[in-house]
Amino acid sequence: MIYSQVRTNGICVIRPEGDRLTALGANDFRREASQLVDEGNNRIIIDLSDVRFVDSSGLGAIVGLLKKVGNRGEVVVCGLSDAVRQMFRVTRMEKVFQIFPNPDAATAALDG
Amino acid sequence: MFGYFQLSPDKLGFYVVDVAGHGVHAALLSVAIGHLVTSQYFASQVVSASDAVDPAAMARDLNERFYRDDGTDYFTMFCGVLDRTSERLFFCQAGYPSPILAREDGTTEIVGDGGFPVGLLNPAEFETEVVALSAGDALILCSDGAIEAETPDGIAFGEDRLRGLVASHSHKDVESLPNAIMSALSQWRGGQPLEDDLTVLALARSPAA
Repeated sequence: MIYSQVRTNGICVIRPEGDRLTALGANDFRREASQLVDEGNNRIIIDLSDVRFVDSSGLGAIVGLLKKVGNRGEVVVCGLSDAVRQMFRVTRMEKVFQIFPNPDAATAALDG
Repeated sequence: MFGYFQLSPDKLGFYVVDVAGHGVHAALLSVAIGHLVTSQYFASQVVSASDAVDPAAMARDLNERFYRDDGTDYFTMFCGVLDRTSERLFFCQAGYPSPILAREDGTTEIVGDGGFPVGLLNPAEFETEVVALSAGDALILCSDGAIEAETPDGIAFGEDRLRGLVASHSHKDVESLPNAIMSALSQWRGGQPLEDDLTVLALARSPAA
């Protein structure tokens, strides 16, 4: 399950439950996040502050959300732990996603 | 999953693949890749008519074949060609963890600085890189199941520990390295089975005669 908070101008912060985004919860994450996009939220901030581990399924779910939003909006990430940042580096996702330190910095950048 | 092919007397091609996710879907994707990547396919993609090698060309072709706009299936891969004549390793790192290069003199290096996985995004750039691999050197590839293996308290094994393990292992005994890695991880896990599957591929060039 995910926690979401709608901010201004269609900006929505979503936070996966728990400290791991893995095969176990990736499908639920993708389904619930997709629903938020279907409801018109197309500027998504994925807050990974509490997540210390993302596996390949978790990454697939995050990129799946990016593909769903496509040109209609933006998907950015924030709060990457060292291990998650390392995963983003090895898979070059740091070139695909804008990365911010926290949700407020991401919101300011998207809303600016 | 992995494979290797003698492309010519001097060139050895190899690849390792780790499909994202688990279950039937991931298993079917593994089977599809295994059937596709034959010796003939590997050579046709990677070796040009002028005998130049470009492993990234295979990653590009696989990305075109397996990418779906509405899909989330993908895999990470490391593929390469070891050229005994030039004593160089040509490789493409497609999201697979960086291998460890164990030099004959006992030093170790981390190879590559990342690359896009296959089938996740399109377009995606894939690059061929080169590193010297002399007689007596060895290359050790482990899927992410190794560095991500956690103790019962949730501490990951990590790249540094894996590198230290390879460095402390006698480089003359590469064949026993996969089992040594397995037992170190089992100990790290406190005897619990690994959460992820694990592939270890160790390649060594024979020492100079």
